[in-house]
Amino acid sequence: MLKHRKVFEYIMEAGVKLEAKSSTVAAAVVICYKFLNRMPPEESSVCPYTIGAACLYLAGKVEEDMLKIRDVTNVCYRVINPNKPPIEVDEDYWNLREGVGRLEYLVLRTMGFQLQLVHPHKFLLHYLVTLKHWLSPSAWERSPLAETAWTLLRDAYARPDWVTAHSPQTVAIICLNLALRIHSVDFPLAPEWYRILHSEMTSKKLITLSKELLCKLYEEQSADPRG
Amino acid sequence: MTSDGKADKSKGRYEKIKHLGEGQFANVYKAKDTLKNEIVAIKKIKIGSRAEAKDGVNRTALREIKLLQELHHDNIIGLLDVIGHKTNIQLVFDFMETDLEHVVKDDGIILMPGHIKNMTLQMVLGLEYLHLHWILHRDLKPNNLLMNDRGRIKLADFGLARFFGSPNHTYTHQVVTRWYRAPELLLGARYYGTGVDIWAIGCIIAELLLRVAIFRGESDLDQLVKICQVLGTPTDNEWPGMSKLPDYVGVKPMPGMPLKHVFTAAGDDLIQFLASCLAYDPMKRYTCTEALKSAYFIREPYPCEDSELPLPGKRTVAQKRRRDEREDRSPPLMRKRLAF
Repeated sequence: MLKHRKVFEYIMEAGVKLEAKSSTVAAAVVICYKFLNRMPPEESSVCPYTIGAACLYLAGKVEEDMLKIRDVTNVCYRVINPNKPPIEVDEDYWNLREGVGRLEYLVLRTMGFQLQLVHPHKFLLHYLVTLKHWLSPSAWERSPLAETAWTLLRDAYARPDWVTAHSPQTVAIICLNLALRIHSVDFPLAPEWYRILHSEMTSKKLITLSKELLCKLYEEQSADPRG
Repeated sequence: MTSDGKADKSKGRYEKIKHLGEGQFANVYKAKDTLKNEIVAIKKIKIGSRAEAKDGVNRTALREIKLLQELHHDNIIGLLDVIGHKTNIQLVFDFMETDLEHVVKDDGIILMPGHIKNMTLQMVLGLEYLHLHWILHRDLKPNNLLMNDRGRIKLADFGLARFFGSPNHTYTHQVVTRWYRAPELLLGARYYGTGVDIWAIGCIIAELLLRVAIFRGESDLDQLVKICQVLGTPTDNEWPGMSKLPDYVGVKPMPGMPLKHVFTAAGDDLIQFLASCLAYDPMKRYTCTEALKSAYFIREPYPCEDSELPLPGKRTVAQKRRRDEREDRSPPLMRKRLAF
C-alpha cells in the first residue's frame, strides 16, 4: 500500500466537500505527495493531515479557486473526525487554523516555490469533445462516458505516484480508455483512436498502463482490511 | 530557482544596497547578487496585519510567482529567484534603472517621435506575448513599465494579472489604476478581455505625448466624464451593449474634440493608432497583433534604437554609458553634479 494513501484520499474527500474544482484537488494531492517525499527530516513529526489541509488551501490559491482558510479548517476537521461534533471556535481551533497557514509557507519553501503544474483535466476534456464528434448523438447519449472518465481521473489521484510518473496526456488517455472499455464503446473506423489523440501512445502502453491504474487504484484498496 | 536546501546555502547571497521604494504589498530594494556579481532588485512582500498573516501566503505574491515562472520574454520582467525564510517571501528580479513615470515627469527629457515609437513598440511586443498566452495584465500604468540602462522596457507587477478566456469565469471590475481603466470596467463589466490592457496602452502613449495623464478622474464617475470630455459621449450605435452593463450611467452628451487637436505633435498614423486603442467598444479596439501591423509601425519615422532612449537625468542611454565608463564609479552625488 502506498505510504500516505489515506492522506491523499482525505484531501480528495475534503476537496469534494469544499466544492473545489477538480484541478484544485489534483494540485493539492500532487503538492502534498511531492512535499511528503522531500519533507525535511526535522519536520517529519508534523501531522500529515494538517499538511494535507495546508496543501489544499495552497492549491486553492494556485488554481485561483478561492478556498477560505476557515472552511478548509472546518471541513478537514470534519473529514478526520466524522463522528465528533463540528469543531468549536476555541483556542484549539485557532491553533489548528494558524498551523494550516504556517505549514503553507513550509510547503512552498520545500517545493522551492515551483508551482507550475500541468493537469490531465484539460487534455481529457479536449479528448472527450473530439470523441463526441466521432460518435452519433444517440451513441454519445447512450452511456455516461464523460462522467465515468472524469470520475476515474478524480480517483486516480489516490495514487499520485502513478499520476506524476506519466505525462498529463497519457493519464487522460488511460482514463478515457478505461471509460470506453467499461461502456463497451468502440471505434471500428478508428481502432487506433488513442494514437490520433496522442501520437506517443501505443496499443501496448495503453493496455499495460490501463491495467496498472486499475490494480493500483482498486485492488490494493480492497486488499486493505480497513479499506 | 533554488530549492530550500540551496537557498539556505546561498543565505547572504544577496547584499542589500539601498531601499528603492514601497508599494502596497511590498518593499523594493536594490541588491547585489554576490554569486553572479550582478545588480538585482529584491521585492520583499510585506507580512501585513496579524489577521492577514494568519491567512497564510500572500495571494498577490503567489500569483506573481506562478505567472512569471512561466513567462519568458525580453519585454517582460524576469523573475530570477524566490527566497523564502519563515514567513518571509522575497522575489528577485532583473534590476531596472527607471520607469516610464519618471521619464514622463522629467522636464529635462524631450521625447521625439522615434522615442515614442520605440517605447510603444516594446510595450506592445511584451503585451502581445502575454495575451497570446491568455494572460491579462490588468494593471498597466507608467510606473509598471520599467526601463533598464540599455533602454529595454519591461512589463512588471503581475499581482493583478490573470488567465482569461474561460467562458464561465467572471472577473472583478475593480482592477487597473483609475486613470488607465477602460470604460467597460468603469461601467462594471464582469466579462472583459484584452481590450482593458489596450486601453491602458492608449492612455500611456497619450501620456508620453502630453507629459501628463490624459484622463485624470477624481472618482470612478468623474473618470467617465473626463473620458467623454475628450472622446465625446459614446452612443449605443458606437458601442452596442453599453447600456446593458451592470453599472451603466448615462453621461450627458458631449461632442468631444478631434484627437488631432489634443495631440498636436502626433502624426496621422499615431492619431489613428491612438483612436484604435481608445475605441469605446472593446470589440473595435486593437488587438496587440493588429497594433503591430498598423501603419504607425510600418511607416517612417522608424523607432529609434533602444540606446537612444532618454533616461531621467538629461542623458540618453548611450551618453550615460559613455559617462559611466569615463567616470569609472565616482560616488553618485558627484556624478549628479557632473551631469549639469
